[in-house]
Amino acid sequence: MRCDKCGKPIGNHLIRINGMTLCEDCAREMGINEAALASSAFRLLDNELTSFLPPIMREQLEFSPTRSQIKCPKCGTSLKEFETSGNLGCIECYNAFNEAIMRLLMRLQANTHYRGRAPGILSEPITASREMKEVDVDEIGSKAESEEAQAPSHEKESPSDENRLLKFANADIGMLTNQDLKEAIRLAVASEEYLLAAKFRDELNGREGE
Amino acid sequence: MKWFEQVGENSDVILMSRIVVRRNIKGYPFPSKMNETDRTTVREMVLDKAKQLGLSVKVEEASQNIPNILKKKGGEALIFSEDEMVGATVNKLNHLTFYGNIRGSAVREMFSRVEGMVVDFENEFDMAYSERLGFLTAEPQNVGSGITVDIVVAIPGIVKSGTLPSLQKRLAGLEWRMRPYIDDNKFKRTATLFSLTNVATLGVGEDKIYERAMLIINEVVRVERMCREAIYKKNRLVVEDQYFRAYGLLKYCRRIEQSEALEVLSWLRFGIGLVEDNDTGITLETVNRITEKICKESDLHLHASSRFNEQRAAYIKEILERGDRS
Repeated sequence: MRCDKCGKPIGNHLIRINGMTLCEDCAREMGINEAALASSAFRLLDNELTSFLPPIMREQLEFSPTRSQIKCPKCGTSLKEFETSGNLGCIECYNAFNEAIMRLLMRLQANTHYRGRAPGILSEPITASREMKEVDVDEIGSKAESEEAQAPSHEKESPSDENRLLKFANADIGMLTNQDLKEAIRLAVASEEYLLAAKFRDELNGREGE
Repeated sequence: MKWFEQVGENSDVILMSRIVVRRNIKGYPFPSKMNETDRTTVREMVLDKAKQLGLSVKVEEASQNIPNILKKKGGEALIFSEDEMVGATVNKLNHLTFYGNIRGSAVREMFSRVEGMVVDFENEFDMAYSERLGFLTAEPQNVGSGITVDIVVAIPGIVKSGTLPSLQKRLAGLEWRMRPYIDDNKFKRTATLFSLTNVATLGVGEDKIYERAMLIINEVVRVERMCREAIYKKNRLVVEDQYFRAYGLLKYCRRIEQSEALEVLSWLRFGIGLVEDNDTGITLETVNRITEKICKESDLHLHASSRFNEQRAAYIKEILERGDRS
């Protein structure tokens, strides 16, 4: 939910006056008394919790008041409009709301990289054969290697481990053996890919349950 | 022959498969932000190309058999092939929303037809495309390949044997989603019709999406048949009883509610091909035809009115009789 006046997202403490939903700052500006503002049950807890957070995360919590006033320079769609309807106005919106879109995609698909075909080129005839699958995995592995070369920030593991994890991640999860899954969980945890590790763990647990 | 008149592959389990591919043309805002002139320009451009490709074009009204695709708004249009199996809507949510429909599970054939059509248009127009995100769509959740595969399955065996949770888990592992085909609280407990859809449009190539679709189809069909056989072997009398009761009810009812009809149809589907000494003469095709017609009511919001119960019973009877004769 967002403040009707400044458009900033509201956390635990929202104030409703005359049908308007306000954030704490705007309410104070409008002259609502301090006692009413301080009465939120979560207020103290909120302050305590945020003080524990590392500074970078605290910054992420503090949105700029102009956030919902961000508009696509080309078609004029506002961030608020996008958040309500879920639809974008033009190609430029992908740049204007990049942050929000990436967050949405990470949440829905856990991936933000396109691996499909380029425009105008018919994809290879689809075969469900085993060979094709293996070629596919290898290709992705090698692609990842070249990406890795460009971004040397992840140097936690030897490349072979990383490649193996990538292979597991891209392989059809149902085709992996229990042994593979255990190995994949270990690798994923080692490289701090907890989402991936959870996926493998769920699959493994599911199999044991059957 | 139109696509909806055909008998599908694996039609004992798969009712129909649908593919949607979304594309936008560079240089124009997405349809929700387009002005009248842009709308008309894009429409005319697309329709010209469609005519070159020998596709049929409809500017005003949608065909009866393609429900919910066209609502009246300026600059919208529909293009489709002769058998209406593949086509595209123009200026709906995206500039071009290609679709393919097929009875049963012949996804590969439909895929190559839809992709062929998409590529024809991609070669003609400069599409909104980014190296990183792929094809840009009006709804960011579909950005990337822009492809949604939707498979409607009837799985009474899996539901009744309690295998549903493990199927759901399996689908989640493949990044697919499962939801009841008719989204209504009334059917929550007895639903046997489900729609399976892919979630990922990023991180997987087209070939992978279809490979997974085929893997899922094969697996669901195999498991469902196994479940049906196992249940039949164990509770032969119960299944036969339910099957023949279901037939009698459908044939002789004068009023029937949507939920009851669907429940009864799921027993018929269950029993066809399994039940011995089957003298009803009812075919899977007839069952699927009735099911589809009943499902379509939800689109038209007819199911809620109790007045419609009589009409429903009447058309079920009519379809049954037609099926018996042929």
